Amino acid sequence: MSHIFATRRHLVRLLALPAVGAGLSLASNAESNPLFTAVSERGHFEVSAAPQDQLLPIGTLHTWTVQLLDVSGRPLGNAALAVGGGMAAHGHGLPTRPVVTPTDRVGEFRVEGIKFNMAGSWTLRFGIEHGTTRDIAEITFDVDF
Amino acid sequence: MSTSKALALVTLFCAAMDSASATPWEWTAREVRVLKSFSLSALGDPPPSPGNRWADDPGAATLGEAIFFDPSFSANDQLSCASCHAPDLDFADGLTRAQGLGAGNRNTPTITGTAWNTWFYWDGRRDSLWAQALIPFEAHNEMGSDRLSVVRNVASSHTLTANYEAVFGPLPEFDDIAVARASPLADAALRDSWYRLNSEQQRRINTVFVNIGKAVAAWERTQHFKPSAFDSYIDSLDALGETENTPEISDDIKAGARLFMDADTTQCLQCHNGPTLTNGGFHNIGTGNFDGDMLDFGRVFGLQAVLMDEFNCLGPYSDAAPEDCTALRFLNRGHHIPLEGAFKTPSLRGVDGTAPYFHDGSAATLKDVMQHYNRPPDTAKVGEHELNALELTDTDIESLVAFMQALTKAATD
Repeated sequence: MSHIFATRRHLVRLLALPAVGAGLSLASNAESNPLFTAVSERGHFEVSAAPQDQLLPIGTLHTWTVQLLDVSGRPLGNAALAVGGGMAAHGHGLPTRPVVTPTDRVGEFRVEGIKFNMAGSWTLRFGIEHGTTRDIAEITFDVDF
Repeated sequence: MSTSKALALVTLFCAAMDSASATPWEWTAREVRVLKSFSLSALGDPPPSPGNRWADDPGAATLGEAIFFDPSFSANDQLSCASCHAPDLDFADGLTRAQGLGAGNRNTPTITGTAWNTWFYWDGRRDSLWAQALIPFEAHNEMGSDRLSVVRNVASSHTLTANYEAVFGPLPEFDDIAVARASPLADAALRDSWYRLNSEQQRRINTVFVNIGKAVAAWERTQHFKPSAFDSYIDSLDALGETENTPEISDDIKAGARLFMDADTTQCLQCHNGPTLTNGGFHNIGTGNFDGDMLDFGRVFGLQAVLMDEFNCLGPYSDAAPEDCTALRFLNRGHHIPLEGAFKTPSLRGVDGTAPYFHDGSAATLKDVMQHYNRPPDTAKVGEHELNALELTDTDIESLVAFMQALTKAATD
């Protein structure tokens, strides 16, 4: 199962937080929801992903909004998105299977059914398909009490 | 030693003891946050049960309570739900594995707090309390009855019929059904009887049978966790730790709580977290099986069973809108999660009252549980277990046990 984490990690920018790398403990003090962005592995796309709440909860289902962008930073229309993830340190995936639904906005998706069932470093992995181009992006972040 | 020297030493000793007992226990800010996340006051009301529109109906709970304790629903008129979920045993049975008409395959869990469960049975083969409540009636080694007998039993009692009809409306007639017993799950003769019924008759029986399960679930949902002595302690903490209102608990308990939260020393918090002290997931911890070479595959079959269950949230007897069946909607069917030999993480609330432990009842005491985690088996009988050996001392284990006992001890004791 480790292959889901076998690809190279990409820089994750944590926006709307007072500092990078402090994870949820800082997210709980943020005035707006955390926003994570990542460039896909082969550089074809950019992903921004935000949970619906300021806190990343442990043990409850929650929803994220994911925006796909092209290399110029424009919303990516007619793209398909798949979402997975897990905990690399523990070698397991998400406890749930999220459901991805396009919204009315170009390149935007609602991802329901995400659940983190323990504290630690979690990764969300986005599989993106646009025409004949496929690429993968990851974000990794800490979830804590 | 002179008397004056002895008195001086005693004075010094007492001063040292006073100093030690007066020193408040110091928690880190994260430890306080984690402790607060355990508090029962953070739990809230039971989550909705979308498949059961009578889940919080008092009349349904009254009917369900009567059925729960009524042995006339069993094949020998001697066993009820309470035979295995005994109130004076914290709604468990104290046995290694359940004992009904025959020996069960697994340890009996308590029903306390099950309103907060997502999955039911050790392998999660049911997705609601009402669907779970139906199985023991027909299981050959539990109450050994059949669904037609169960619904006829309600119809044969004026009191049960009145209570049923007050909640669910008129009880259907079964006079057109010639056989006394029928079930799709029982022995060959009863299965034959079941499949000779037409679909409308089967649906009529199932509807009443399901309502009985929904009534039992409505009552079981009222069996909430009780505040523990440790809840009183953590509710008194402020962001900096203990306050002048903090009740006395032993340092042993606090040391156990610290170990419980310390991911470098134990792995407890990975699976036992939140106010229920369970992540509700399924994990292979290398526990064994019962009869020689017989294997128990756990969640890998439970997952298939819940998907095929006609009484699941998406089935024809559920009151839920499909979008409300979130457990099934977002069910991970094994994508990068280990299912073989995985069993549901139980709550630790009230755990001191529900020995023995693990799905196979193989740990007689909480100390035995901790010894298992400290020195897990090299291999699991099914799949691979998730445990790494710990390096807990005997004192550490005693502290962790004291902490779990404090999660059980009533707040008012």
